Amino acid sequence: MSSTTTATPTTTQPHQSAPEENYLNCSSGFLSWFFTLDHKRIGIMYLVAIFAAFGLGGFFALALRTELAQAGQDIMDMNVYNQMFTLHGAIMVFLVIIPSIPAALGNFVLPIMLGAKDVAFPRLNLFSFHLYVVGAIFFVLTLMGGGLDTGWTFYTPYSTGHTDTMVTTAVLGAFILGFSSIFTGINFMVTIHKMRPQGMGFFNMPLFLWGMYATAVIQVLATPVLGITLLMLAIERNFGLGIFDPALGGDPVLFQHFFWFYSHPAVYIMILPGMAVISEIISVFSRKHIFGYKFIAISSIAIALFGFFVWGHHMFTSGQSTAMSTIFSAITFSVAVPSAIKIFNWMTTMYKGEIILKAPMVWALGFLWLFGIGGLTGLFLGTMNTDVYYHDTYFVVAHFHYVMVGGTLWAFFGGIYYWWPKITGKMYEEKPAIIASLVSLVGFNVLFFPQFFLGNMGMPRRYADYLPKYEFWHLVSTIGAYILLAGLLMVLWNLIRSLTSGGKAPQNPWGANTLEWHTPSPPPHTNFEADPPYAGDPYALDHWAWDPETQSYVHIAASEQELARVEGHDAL
Amino acid sequence: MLTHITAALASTLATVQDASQELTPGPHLFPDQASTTAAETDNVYLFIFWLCALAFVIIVAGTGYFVWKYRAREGHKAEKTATHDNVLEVTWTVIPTLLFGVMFWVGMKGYVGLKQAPADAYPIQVTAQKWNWKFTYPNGAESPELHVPVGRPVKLTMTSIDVLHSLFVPAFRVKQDVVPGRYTTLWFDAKDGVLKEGQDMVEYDLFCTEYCGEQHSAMITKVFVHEDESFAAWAEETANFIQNEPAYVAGQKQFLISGCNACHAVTDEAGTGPGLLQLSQLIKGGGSVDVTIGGAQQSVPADDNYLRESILNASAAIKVGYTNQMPLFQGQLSEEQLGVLMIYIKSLADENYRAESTLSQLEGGGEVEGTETDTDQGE
Repeated sequence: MSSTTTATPTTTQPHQSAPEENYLNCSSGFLSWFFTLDHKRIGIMYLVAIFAAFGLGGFFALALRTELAQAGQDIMDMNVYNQMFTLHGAIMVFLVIIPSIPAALGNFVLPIMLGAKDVAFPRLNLFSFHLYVVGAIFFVLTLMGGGLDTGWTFYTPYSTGHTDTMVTTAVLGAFILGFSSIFTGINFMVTIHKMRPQGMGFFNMPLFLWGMYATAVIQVLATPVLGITLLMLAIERNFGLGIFDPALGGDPVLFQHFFWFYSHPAVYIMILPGMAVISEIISVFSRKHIFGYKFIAISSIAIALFGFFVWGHHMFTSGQSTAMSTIFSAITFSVAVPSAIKIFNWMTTMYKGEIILKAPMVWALGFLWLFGIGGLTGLFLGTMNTDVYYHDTYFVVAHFHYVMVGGTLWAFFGGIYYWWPKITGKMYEEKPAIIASLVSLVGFNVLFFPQFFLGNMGMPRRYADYLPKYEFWHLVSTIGAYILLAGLLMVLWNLIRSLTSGGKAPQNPWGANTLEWHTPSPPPHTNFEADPPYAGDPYALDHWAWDPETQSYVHIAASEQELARVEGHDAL
Repeated sequence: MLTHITAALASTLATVQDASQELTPGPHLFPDQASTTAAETDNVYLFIFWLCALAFVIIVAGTGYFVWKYRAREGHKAEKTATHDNVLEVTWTVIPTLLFGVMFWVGMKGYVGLKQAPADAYPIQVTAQKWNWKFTYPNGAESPELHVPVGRPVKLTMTSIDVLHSLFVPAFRVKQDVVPGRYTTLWFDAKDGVLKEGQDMVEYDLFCTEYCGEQHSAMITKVFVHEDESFAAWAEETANFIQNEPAYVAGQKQFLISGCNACHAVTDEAGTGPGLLQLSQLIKGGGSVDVTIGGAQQSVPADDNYLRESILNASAAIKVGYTNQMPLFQGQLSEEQLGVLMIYIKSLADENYRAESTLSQLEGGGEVEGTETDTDQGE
């Protein structure tokens, strides 16, 4: 064989082009989708639903940011504003961020990464999706029937006895959505436990699956507590049973304990999947084996575990005792350590790598910056006396948007771009995708960084109107909101365009080694045409070499790996 | 048991009181360090800030450097390095852990200091409601704004009569939720340095910072820090304002103290509650009001009894077109307070109630000069 800069494919690897029949076209019609048992179709339906919910939640955000651009009640009165921030929060938390990566990406990718045909319980999976739809309907009913003005946190006694809005409908919707989350968690845990292929022990599986697993543990253990709490809220509100309202003999701070016992682990449900995606992207687009595999894997479990013991850091000013606050603060710092470990391991993965700046990597790098700020600003809030100042101010609002949007949403888009060729069989256009990500990055920072300043200045949150001295930074923040909107619209356009006029996606455009890249794009209905290949090390990227003719990575045998390593180079 | 341990710990870690009485501006857009504990909070902030700035630079500059130096290009390949290094892992685990330990410690120390009011603190009661604050002073004075003497600890004992609120004074760096059904406390010491040469009073913002419904963002008032003499004079005058002022003027003050202005304009303007000018006119002219009693609509005479019941037990008869939002003032108002309130409301339309003195009234009117009906609904 002549010495070339590319490697010729061997006969043992699957062919490059997508087969005629795949999971998208093997059956058609609404019923074949809405009652499918195919995890891939369920993932797509979740993706569409989550995008729709994101648009709705985003609309409320733009409305409230537009109102806040100037002091005074400009386009809405206080009652409407209070509804805007409540609905924005409730929709984003329950209908978008919590389901996002597990439901839309996890559902699609997880079984294929395990070389399996589907999840352990496909019917339960469909049921999870239907529960999501029913929960979403309850939120729509909430909107149509008078809205909600309690804040997404539903604090009592305001929510049980001081508002006429659709509280019961909304908490029932959240209750139902909770079961969607629980069942997905059960499904993923069992699938990972029982359906790993030969040779894939826990410590051989991709880090994406470690993230899904840790998330599933939290979903199963924490969500029921929220369910019961919301049920108690509904009972007090409708039947006057005194649990939280002192006028009925209850304790309002008790509600906070119950609520945050779930809602703090919930934020780890939000971020662990994001971190899981980042682990995959950074390795593949640095063309290097992930660094510190064991530490990253264990850190996911550590975060999930410690995350259950810190809920009181939301309550330092609630009237909670000094002793309790002290314990919660101390444990809160313990959760920060594993997150720091991950960041250092990702950076070391990039060291001496070959950095390919395609869209998934641009989102992942954005994640490092934004989650970096978000995580670091959490330190001010875990520290007890600075939290006394910052609690319920805009500093908190900025912090959680940096971690939930800059963290989870950025990782979500990174994952969408990363797995887009596999899911759709289409390639998106790279340059517009990168520009969209960068515009979003600029917009996001202009939108939220000034909110740290507002927090320092003492601006409280959930304020429909504010003193004139806060106006400048609010105006800047609103401008950022519109820049972010532009960026996200560009993302949407870029993705939709790829469906209509994108190029055909090869089997492995990125040169990754996890099992989903060992099957065509898009995959057949049963995920693999024949038996799935042997799993091996998910981060052994030197099994793949770049082939300029097909503009994709091709699988090479061991002897050729050596040749490719010396002479070849990867996609630029 | 745990509380006792923490309290013992606290007494051995005496709060770092700000010995310098100078007024220092806060760093990074924080307000002035107007209390004796503000500097400690700000110093912990700065400590964390510089550590975070360092970490951020390491992360962003480090990543940026790697992206540039190892960017994919002709002739550049990834190098196979080690895939794990336990020494590295332990190092970057231990160092952050130690730094976090220090952060936790200084934060805890500061917090304990914020929780432990000095024994000789000047006590003020706080009652929060939707959507105003009422401060009650040792001599019985009440006011919708917080007045405090400078240079001594002040302790607020707080409760709410309806939903959760939270009292926040940024300049003092203090915050505490105000909970219905129990008391919570908060203390601060406004430094002597806040009063400049010749100044006998200075003011700071006080916010409600726990969402409490429609006018949460209007539940803002001020903290007035006084020299001792100025504070004493204010407290005396305020405690006796009902005896010392013409009834309708006293009633206007009581209107603000009881927070009526949060929902009721004294014009025809409708807010959460009806504007009171129309009711005043109906009372004067002997008209009637359409209300809902027990679900059924009725027309009732607009007289003193209706006005009294509307204040003490509003839920008994709700004016048509409004919802049952008004707190019950039964037991919250003395007869004198109720009396001057009613006189004030009647005075809106009826000049007969607006007299400064009996003689001037008999001789034909005479409002107190310079008195304005304060219809400010808050910012």
